[in-house]
Amino acid sequence: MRMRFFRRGLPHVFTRALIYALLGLWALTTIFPFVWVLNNSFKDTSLVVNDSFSPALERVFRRDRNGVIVREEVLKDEHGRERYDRLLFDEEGNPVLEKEQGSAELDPESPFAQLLGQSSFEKSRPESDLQAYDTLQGSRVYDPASPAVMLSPIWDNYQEAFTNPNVNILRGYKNSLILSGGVTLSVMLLAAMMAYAMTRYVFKGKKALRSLLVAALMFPAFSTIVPVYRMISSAGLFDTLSGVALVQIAGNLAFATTVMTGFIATLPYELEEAAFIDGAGVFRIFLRVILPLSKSALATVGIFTFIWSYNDLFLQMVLLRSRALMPVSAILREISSQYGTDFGLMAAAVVVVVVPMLIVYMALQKYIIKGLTAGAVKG
Amino acid sequence: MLYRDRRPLLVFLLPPLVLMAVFLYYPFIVNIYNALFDIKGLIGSPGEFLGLENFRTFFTRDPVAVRALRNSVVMMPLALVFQVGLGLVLALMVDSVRRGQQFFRIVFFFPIVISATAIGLMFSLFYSYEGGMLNQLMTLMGREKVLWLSKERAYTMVVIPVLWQYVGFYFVILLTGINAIPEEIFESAAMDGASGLRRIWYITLPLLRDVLITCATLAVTGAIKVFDLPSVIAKNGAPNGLTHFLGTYMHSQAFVAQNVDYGSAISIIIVVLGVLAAGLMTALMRRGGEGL
Repeated sequence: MRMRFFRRGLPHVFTRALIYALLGLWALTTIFPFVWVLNNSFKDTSLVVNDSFSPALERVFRRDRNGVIVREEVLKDEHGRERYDRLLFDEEGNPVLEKEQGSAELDPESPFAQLLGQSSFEKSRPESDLQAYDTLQGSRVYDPASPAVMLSPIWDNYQEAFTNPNVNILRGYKNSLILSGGVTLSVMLLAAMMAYAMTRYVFKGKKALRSLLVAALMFPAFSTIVPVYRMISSAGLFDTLSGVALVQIAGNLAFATTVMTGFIATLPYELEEAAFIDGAGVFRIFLRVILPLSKSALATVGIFTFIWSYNDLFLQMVLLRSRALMPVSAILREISSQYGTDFGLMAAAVVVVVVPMLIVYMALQKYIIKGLTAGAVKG
Repeated sequence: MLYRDRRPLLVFLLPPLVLMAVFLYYPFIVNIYNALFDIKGLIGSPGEFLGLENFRTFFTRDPVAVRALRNSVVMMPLALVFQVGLGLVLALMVDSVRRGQQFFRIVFFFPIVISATAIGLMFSLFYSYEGGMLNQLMTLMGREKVLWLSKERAYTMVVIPVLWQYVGFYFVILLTGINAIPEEIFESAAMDGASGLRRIWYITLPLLRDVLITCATLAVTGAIKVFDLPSVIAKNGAPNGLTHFLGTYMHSQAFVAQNVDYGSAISIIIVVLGVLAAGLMTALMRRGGEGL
């Protein structure tokens, strides 16, 4: 590697610095958005909206002029004028109530708790209940540049993402796993079967079949969806995961078979012949010789099918209706239309969907990149 | 010998082919048929024969459709320049440095593995007028807040994440292509005194031609299929259908407005455009290649 590098000529130090700077800049654009979202997923929406850049490893509060720990909320009154609410906290970051001052306990029914949980400004808040909260008009409680008091991060957004029955990302995961797992396994098997038949057998119409496969690569889901929707509905498969799965399998087979054909064609016949002489039949050879030898190509096909199926929104939108069946992509879209103002929840939802994919990607990235180049560079 | 008995062929080919026939080839043909008839409602049956009426409506009587077409067509050169072009520049740069190749490879590829829906949600958080990240930046810099998804700006703002997401994809393909160029070629070029940009222009790029053609074809055909990101960031082509793409417009016509015949016609336009673009790409690149 090093030799190769020098032979190509070492760029000038200045050029090299510039190259690293530009590459770093692009890396920043791919990393920063996720860091920003991760950071804000631990914040209350009111804080996301006002101060999204402060680190949320800790919750941010500040002390007002009297040294009391407060958090400020900027509200608008009916005339659009800015109004500042100030929330009081004890040293541990628990909201302070008049009746039980300093207590860590917070009545979940209290408007204060609701305020913290959902931070919807429109809620009426009987002020007599709270010493912790008082409204100032037109002047700030503290200078936003004053040193922050750091307290522990909040997990409310994640709790909401996992428990709100309208969101329930955990169930979404389950659905995604069933759907994409099933699709992936089926595609791997069916594509291997078709590729095996196409590379080993001589038969009439092989050429036509090959052209059909190439043509199928050019069919976008849009061009089949209406008739597919009708067939799925009349077969009683509308709003079922198997309905979506069948369509996804069919949609992925052409690509998968192309990759598998390229690979199986390179496998030597000798092993199959040896197995045949030992008395193995075609099916046995397929299962015991071809499939094990094709592991790396199968991995490629599997990974890509899984990513594609997990991320595919269009079919999920069209063929599913009930929330209980929605995979994560569809749920994310629901969240964005229903809770579009709850920034904390949205950030947490993005994190929850993205993190497993990133982990899988980091673990399998060698295969992913190898497969990508096998599929694209050769194809 | 082993493969002389062709009966197993049926077992291997029938299941996948039946699936593809039922859910791919048959609906593709029915879809063409549907576009030529008057169909109202998702389960309505074909009524009066319309011929090419739906296509005429698309091009002459429907400003939103023309806008969606324009948005999708403009997306193609944008994808070429920003996805493939930027991917190529990044690949050449990464190839020329010693350390960190692996790091850049992993990091640049991030956005691809993440669903477009999640990225759409993320960008809605950036673009939001009240409390969005960009407007917080503006406030920090002492500037006025900006309505990012305004009529003038919406298309650009929706296109940015689409382009950004795929740069890493082409970067990885092209970088692998560059790494596959035999070392001897560079060695002999170095002996002839070629270096830096000249080497890229006269050696790397010509040898990368086939990979570039593949990338270009993938980019333009992908541009026509854009769906997830716009459908999350700017719902229903908001504002005023200005950010509709052919895909999102097809969906809203067929499944929201339930103009099934019209939606089918739009989907055929998507296919035709895809085939044309792919053909054009191949032809252009082939001709360009002969000159080199």
